Amino acid sequence: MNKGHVLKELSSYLDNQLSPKQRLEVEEHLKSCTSCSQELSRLKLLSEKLKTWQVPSLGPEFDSTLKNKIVLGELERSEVKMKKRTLINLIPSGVIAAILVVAFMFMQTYVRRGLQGRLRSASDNLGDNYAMRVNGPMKSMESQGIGGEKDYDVYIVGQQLSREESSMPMAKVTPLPSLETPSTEGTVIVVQPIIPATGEGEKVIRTADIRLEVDDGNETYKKASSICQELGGYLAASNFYKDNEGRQSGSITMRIPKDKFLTALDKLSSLGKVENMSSNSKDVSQEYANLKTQLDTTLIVYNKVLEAMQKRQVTVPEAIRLESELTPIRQRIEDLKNKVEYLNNSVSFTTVNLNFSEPIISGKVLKESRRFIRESILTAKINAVKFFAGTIKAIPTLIGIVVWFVLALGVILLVKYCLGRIFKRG
Amino acid sequence: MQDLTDEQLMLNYQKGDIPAMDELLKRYKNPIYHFAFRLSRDAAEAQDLTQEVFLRVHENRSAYRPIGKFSTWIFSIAHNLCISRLRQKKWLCMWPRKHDAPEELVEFASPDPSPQEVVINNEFSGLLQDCIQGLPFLQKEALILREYQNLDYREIARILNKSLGTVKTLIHRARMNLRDKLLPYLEEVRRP
Repeated sequence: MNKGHVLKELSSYLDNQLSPKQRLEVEEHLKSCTSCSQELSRLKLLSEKLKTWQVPSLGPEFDSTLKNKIVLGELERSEVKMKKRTLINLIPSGVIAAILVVAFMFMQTYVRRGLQGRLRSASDNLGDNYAMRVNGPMKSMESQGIGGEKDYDVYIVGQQLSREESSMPMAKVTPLPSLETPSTEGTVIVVQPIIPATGEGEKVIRTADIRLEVDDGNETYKKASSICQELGGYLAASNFYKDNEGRQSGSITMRIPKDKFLTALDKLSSLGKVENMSSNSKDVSQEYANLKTQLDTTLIVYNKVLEAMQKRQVTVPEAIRLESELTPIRQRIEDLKNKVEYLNNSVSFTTVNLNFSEPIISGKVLKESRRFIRESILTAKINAVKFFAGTIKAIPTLIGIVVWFVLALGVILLVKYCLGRIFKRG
Repeated sequence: MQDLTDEQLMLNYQKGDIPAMDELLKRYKNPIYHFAFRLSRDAAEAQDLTQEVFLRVHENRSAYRPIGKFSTWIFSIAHNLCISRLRQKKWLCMWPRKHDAPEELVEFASPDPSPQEVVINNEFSGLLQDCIQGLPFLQKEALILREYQNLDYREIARILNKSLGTVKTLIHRARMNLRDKLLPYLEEVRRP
């Protein structure tokens, strides 16, 4: 082995990475070559110096931070997996739902067009005597022969129509049994679709707002409360007040079981004149599914960690550390449970906001005013009769006065005549 | 637990034995951290990289096969992460500018222990680190694995995914580069 080769192999020789044969050859060469020996010494010295490089140690929180990251990573991965699985399940459901919605909208458009066309022609036939106003209580009716059975909101006309005039071919009125049965003569004016009923498995939060004009605020408040109790709901909030002019108004927020939602709307609408009514639905199925998935996953991780802890014997400091690491997971589980519970509660009970107020001229005030006017008229009549009677009473007196005046005048004139005659003779 | 080899511990962890990970962490957190620190000279970066390495070990535990040493596997992960970060952050791989002329320092070297010598030694340590930092990345990595982790050439070859000959050359060149830069100082220090 020559000097060039040895110099190349010195590093490997120093690290003891040569074969025994190569090692012997290098050692033989080193005995006879000073420069190569010096080079080896330099490399040894360099190696020693390199080992003097000290490195700062790791922080004490390293282990716990790492374990937290591992747990969080596991959680995220399981969430992603579950989301993917949920998505795979949801895509076919979404497609079916989309098809149903499109079919429903198509049917809706068809039904509306048909009904509007017929209503227009019917109203033309009825002429201008019957004004179309939306101010009556809500009724329900079925359409027949127009794409199957559907529920519609119907408002009564201001003027009653005769049976012959109202016998239009497009609809037949079927009032709800719970409502006071109105005259079926002439009722069709505006038709609106009611919200379609939701399936049992869906998670939908429903809210409705009703504004009523009522004759007696106090009475309405009592009736609404009893309707709420009767349907198995409860009052979430209520407000009742009277203004300076004595008008009573109030608002009630009630939670009604979801299956009694439409019944509640019907019953509450019958308490007065409906000024405004709106309802809103929010589908939280996706959110609910996500929360459930997260909760299940977190519970699995938590139980596994607990199981692992129970399987082996841990020291007290280790147990304290593990406990502190488990605390955030436990908090997360509680938080998720609360959210799921809240959603369940929101879904199983619908919210109905009822606002009611007496009109500016309320029925009660009107009644009072009428009574007052009636009494005033009566009083005036009595006074007039009394005055007339008084006047009649004065007539004989007047006649007596006039008679006496005439008699006195006659006497005076007679005396004057007699005196004149006496003076002429004399 | 302490009597088990790294490979047995990893196999146990693969089966769900969580304490095995604690033991592996205890054994390897400092070597990996030192390796990363010497490559980057940044404590926060090195700590972050060390955590990343153990996260990868956890995530890829099912992919582990005991065909080689566990140390080779874990250092391979560290090497791959270093390469990836090198591309992202462009760790500096330049020769030092401040200590380009170490000959000047030789004038202050003295055989007697004195405050000046202490200062010079400290200065030498900084110079040495700068010189290592200035090595080409693979030379630096191979040298660090050899000098500080005491791994043999075959293991280093597997970690760097290079041939044995290439690793020999990388380590030899790294030493030659350092020797060239520090030669005057090494000569002076050697003097009695």
